[in-house]
Amino acid sequence: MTPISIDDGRRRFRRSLGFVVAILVVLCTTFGLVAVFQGPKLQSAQIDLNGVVEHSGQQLRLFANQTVAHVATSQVTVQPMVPFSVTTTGDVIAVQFDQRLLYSTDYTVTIAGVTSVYEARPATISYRFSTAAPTMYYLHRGQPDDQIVSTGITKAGKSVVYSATHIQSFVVFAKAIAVATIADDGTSELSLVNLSDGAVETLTLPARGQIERMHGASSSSVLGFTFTSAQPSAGTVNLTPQYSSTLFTIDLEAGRKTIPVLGVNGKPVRVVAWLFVPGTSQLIALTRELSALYIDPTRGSIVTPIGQYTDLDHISNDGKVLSVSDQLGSIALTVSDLTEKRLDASPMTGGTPYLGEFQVLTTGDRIEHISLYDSVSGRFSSRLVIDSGASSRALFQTVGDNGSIEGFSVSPNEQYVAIETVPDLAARVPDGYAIEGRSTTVTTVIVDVASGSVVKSMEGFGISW
Amino acid sequence: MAGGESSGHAPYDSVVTTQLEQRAQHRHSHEMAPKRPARSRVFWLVVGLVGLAAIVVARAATSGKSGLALPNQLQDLLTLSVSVIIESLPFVVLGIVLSIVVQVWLPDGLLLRYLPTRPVLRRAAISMFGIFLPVCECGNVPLARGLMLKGFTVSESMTFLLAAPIVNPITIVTTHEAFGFSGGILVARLVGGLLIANVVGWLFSRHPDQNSLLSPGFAEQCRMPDHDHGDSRWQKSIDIFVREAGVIMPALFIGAVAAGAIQVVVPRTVLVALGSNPLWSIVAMMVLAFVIAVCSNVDAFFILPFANTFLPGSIVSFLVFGPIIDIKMLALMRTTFTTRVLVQLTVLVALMSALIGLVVNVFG
Repeated sequence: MTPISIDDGRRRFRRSLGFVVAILVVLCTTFGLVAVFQGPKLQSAQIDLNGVVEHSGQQLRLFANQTVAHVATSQVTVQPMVPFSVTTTGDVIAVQFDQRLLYSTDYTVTIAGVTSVYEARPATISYRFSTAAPTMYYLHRGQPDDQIVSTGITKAGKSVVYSATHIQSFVVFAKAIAVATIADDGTSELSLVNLSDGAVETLTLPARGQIERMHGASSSSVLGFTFTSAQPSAGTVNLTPQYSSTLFTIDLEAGRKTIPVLGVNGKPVRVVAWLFVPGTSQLIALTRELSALYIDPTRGSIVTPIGQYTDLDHISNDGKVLSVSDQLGSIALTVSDLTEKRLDASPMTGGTPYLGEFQVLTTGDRIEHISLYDSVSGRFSSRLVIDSGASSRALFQTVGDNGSIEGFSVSPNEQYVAIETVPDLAARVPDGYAIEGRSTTVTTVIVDVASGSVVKSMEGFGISW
Repeated sequence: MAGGESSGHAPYDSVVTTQLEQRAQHRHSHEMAPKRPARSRVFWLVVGLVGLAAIVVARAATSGKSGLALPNQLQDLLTLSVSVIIESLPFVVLGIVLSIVVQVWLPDGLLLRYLPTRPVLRRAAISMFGIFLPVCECGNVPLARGLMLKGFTVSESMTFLLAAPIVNPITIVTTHEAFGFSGGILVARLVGGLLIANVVGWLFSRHPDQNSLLSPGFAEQCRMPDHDHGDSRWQKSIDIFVREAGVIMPALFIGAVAAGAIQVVVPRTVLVALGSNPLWSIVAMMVLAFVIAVCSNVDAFFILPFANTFLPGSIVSFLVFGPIIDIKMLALMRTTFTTRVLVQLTVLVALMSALIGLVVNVFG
């Protein structure tokens, strides 16, 4: 190689410097133009994939890479279609879903004509997400132990979460499962099973006795049940049980103390039916005196009487409409203003429908358990139907109408309904449990409300979504 | 040896032997700089102590009196300037200490011995030095000077100087704490910093007279042979500390005052108003970085509140440009490099920082 002079070297350095600077200027100009003409872009997104199927009013928050101008609802499309609203704050476009979304479904949100507050270059922002398919739990009474089983809604796999002898009922919370079991002496025991490590803690009950009608508040850690204390032993002066279908609550994250729910007169209420208002720790109870009460046990048991009814079945998933009945028939009771709407089952082919338990959906349709009377054969048969108020569509009936529908539970997003059924009444064998006994053949069938197709069937009952 | 790329021509390191390499090759342990007479040191120490005492007395005497307060703008200037000094001072001292370690305490040729011989790989390795040095940009100036005195070429030291404040461990941690991996800001900052340092290092390695890139004062210092007059390592260390502090500290103070003055004159609101424009936001952020001269170890937290207003690319430009070029750094680097080099360096780093920001905005 030939040595070069210092002057040649300086010239070569200057050429190199000029060349690099020129290249950089060209690249900066090119990318600058691209950036200017590109318009806003999606930088990140936030969504609770479990929350959107469990609660209404959940948001998809789309973060643009720059402050964006106001986005109108007309600019946004959601596929599959769901009702929504849109707000714009700085670089965040929030799409709020008015209803719960479907499980295991791909959604695409597209926003057309998004512009920066500084540049009117429109861009289209699109985001796709798949909703969760939450785990559900059910109770399988088997031999030698009963099992609380978890499984997916559409997936085949399942696993035993907890097993014990004589499991009566259970309630699933975020971190634990409350399990009521029946002891050898016929009384109930209440345990708390940690979902992460399986540790079992026994909870203290008000006395020796039996738990019934156990429910949990979906949004908190409050457990509720009715309690009837055991019959006093012979020779006791007072033979009246201390508690009889008395409603108690336990806050599992605040002391774990059983607290009686107080009625209008300040005394513990004794109930024939009760339920939590979805998304709250408030409850509605139907007393033995057939008085329906709206109770907020968290604020010193504030009690509001809401009417006289003979039965209390369900409440809509948005907590707005109560399913009650009186001597004259079924009533949809709007909780906010106590307006009553008397209901009858819509006509169905094949017989005369008689309305049993029902639940009003957030769409206004109703899931109904009806008895269909065939005047030709003189037989009654059970149907689960979805009723628009004008017509009904069958969702489920037992094979050959040989079985019975024992009850149903609508999934939080109202996509599925779990139906507890005894397939063949003639072969029905009671399980012999002292409390809340069931048939040994009770089966839960999961039906897609939209299509009426059966997506899953399990031996067991007491589904917890 | 002076770094020149082999590209058809004979490499400069085969024909141009700078005084730096002569120093490196002839470690005859000479004294590095003439010592300041002891009487002179005591005099300036007394002047400093008296000045400090005067300030304390003046403060105590005027604390209760109204009407003696400084005008608001002057108060802002003082606050901003002092904040830059306080923020930078520990790292400057740490940088000088590390420089002393390199010059006096590390065995001769230790660093050079294990570096690759190919210039490109060698500079790439040098640009990674900063990963092990928790020193911000101001502390790296004395350290880079120390590397040159220890035998590194100007372009190699420049590569280190540009990359080290960005890849230093504290900067990586604070940037991650501030932004995580969102928007690719952390990755773009690290990759961008290394890229800029290596490109600039490569470019200046093509300069045939590396010594001419240095300021006359520092070049003179480099030319002085390293004769040993029997001083202990500790004595040498103290001499280097005094000399480096004497050069760096005034530059730091001048840079800090300039940064404070410009912030007082140019309202930040003007820069922030440009925030969301894909082009102007980058320019605004680079100007902001140049003006505020915040330390690279904490600049991610400084800019975090702007993250919702400014585009990610402009944040990256701020985080890449600021640690290399700002008012304070120009003042500090002027102790070592010529004005022409600093202008060339500023243009190159500004263009590359802007390009990295634009790329992040387009593809991010």
